[in-house]
Amino acid sequence: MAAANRDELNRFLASVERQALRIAEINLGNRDDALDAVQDAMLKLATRYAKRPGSEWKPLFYRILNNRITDTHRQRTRSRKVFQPPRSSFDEDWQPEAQAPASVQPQGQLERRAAMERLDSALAELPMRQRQVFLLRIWEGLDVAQTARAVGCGSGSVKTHLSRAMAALRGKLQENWP
Amino acid sequence: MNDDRLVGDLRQVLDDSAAELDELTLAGLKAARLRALDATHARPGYGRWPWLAGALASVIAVALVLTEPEAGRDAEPATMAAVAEPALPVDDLELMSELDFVIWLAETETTL
Repeated sequence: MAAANRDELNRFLASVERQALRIAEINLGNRDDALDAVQDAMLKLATRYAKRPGSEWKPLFYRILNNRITDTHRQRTRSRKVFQPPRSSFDEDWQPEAQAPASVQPQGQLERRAAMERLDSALAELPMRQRQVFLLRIWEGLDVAQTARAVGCGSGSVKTHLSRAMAALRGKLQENWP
Repeated sequence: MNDDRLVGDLRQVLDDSAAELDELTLAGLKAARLRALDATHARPGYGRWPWLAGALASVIAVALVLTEPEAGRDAEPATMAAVAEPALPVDDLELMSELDFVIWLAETETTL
């Protein structure tokens, strides 16, 4: 792999890694599993598609990541694990990050954290497909066609899933949204 | 709350959550990224030895012809893909499942 291509791929992966981790975390409800999924997606993209044009990397990467997330859900179902809603609402031992006690956190940081927890909780209650479509369309900025290919459904379904996700989030968040 | 404001708010919250990841997680992401880049560099790939890939394909084709049961000769001839697919490792099957996506992307690129 040429050095220039390696640098370009490095820049691409660095540009998506944080959002990819959060998307995987919201979908899987666990940061360790999310990190594993992102690592696998990076590895597959790098080994299989590094020579593709850089403009194709983003939808390809999220296609791979979404497949990995779906596989993890299937494995969990197969191993008869009790379904766990994502993150804080059920995984009490898991801590998103080392954080200062509430008493010493600035007010703005506390409010941001509270908003994140409310949003994560609301997203966790959505059906997986709606959650994936919402995150890819609204947060990652993929267009309808790219989102459809990334999650494996039709363009019409993307619009339906997004509309339902927005309605559900509006309903869940409007009462206590800042 | 209208949709535009809701979308703006939700994007901001998600952006904040990504920006505030802890150092340990960021180190894990960086390690994963470097591992992926190294794997790309280290991967031998079939392109380095095209003659080997060709030779292997020929040997497999000959072996399939020689080992095919006599009774099966009259039957519908199987394509190489149909014969070889079950023997592919799981990773290659996943790759096959993504091929339509790659083709679609390439077609999209050319029509833009």
